[in-house]
Amino acid sequence: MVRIAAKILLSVIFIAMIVAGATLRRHNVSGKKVTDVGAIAEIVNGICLS
Amino acid sequence: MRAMVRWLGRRRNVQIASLLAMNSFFLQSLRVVCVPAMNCYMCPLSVFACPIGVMVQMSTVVAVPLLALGIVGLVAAGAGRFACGWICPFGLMQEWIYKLRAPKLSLPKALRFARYAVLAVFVFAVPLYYQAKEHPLYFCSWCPVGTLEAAIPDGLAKAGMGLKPVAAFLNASPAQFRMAVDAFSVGPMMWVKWGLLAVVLLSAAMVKRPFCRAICPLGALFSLFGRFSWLQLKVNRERCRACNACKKVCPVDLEPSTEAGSAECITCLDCWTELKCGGIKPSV
Repeated sequence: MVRIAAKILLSVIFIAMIVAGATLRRHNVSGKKVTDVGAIAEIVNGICLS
Repeated sequence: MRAMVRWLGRRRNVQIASLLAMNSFFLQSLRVVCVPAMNCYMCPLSVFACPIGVMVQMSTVVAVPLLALGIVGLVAAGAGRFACGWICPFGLMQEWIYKLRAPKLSLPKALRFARYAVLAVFVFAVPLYYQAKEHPLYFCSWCPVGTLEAAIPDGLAKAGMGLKPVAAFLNASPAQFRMAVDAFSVGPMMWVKWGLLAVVLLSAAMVKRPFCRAICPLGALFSLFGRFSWLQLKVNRERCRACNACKKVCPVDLEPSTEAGSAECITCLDCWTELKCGGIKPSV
């Protein structure tokens, strides 16, 4: 029972991390706040995050 | 439909399909999504972003890479190191190299813990400390996957002087290839990069998946997050005859009868699909 609860909790935490990463504007790129998705796009294009 | 299900059930087919899908070049708008496998986003053909590359870059600005960690964690929580065994292109390559005729050796067990050190030091600690865009000690600076998938095609493209990277890769003459090697041999980490790639590729002919077992920081993350994964391998003690046939088919040289579901198990399910004894079975 404890193991199943741990599995459910972990899965929920990781889903929450994905949702937060995709929606929260946390990174500053060229004076603009972007989400993780935007930040990854900049990383892939070789632009520095700040 | 049944034929398709059977085709998808074959691990090698899935590995080849994912290799092609991750490097299909035409869907590059998907590069904002991390794929849970070692596939360098600097590769000219790459479609997705490498989660380790993203983590290194985000560590340089002291940001928690929520999306990358979440994707890796969710895959690990679902099926442990399933992605290592089924979709990682570099794992597939090492398995192919291991088929070459060469003396076969086993990896010292202590090296299993090296990948955790690589993850902690070169993916998080060093980028957090230096906070520069590039540094020779960052994992991406010497990652053998990056050297193979990005440094070589990029060097070829530079040598081709105007040729598109893909065309350069396909059409490079020996002279152009030498120029490419020269073009990419400039830099503080050149010997480390080329040497490590050579060591990994050569040792892959003698040791089963050496990079995955001793170096891969993504595998270390999968092992950490996959501790309580939904998919687990269980040993049926009544059916297991301890014949060790499963050790022969295991692509990471484990003894599944005693180590199934351990942090080193890549959940390839070969010990279940290749053997008919029923001693090991996946359970959810």
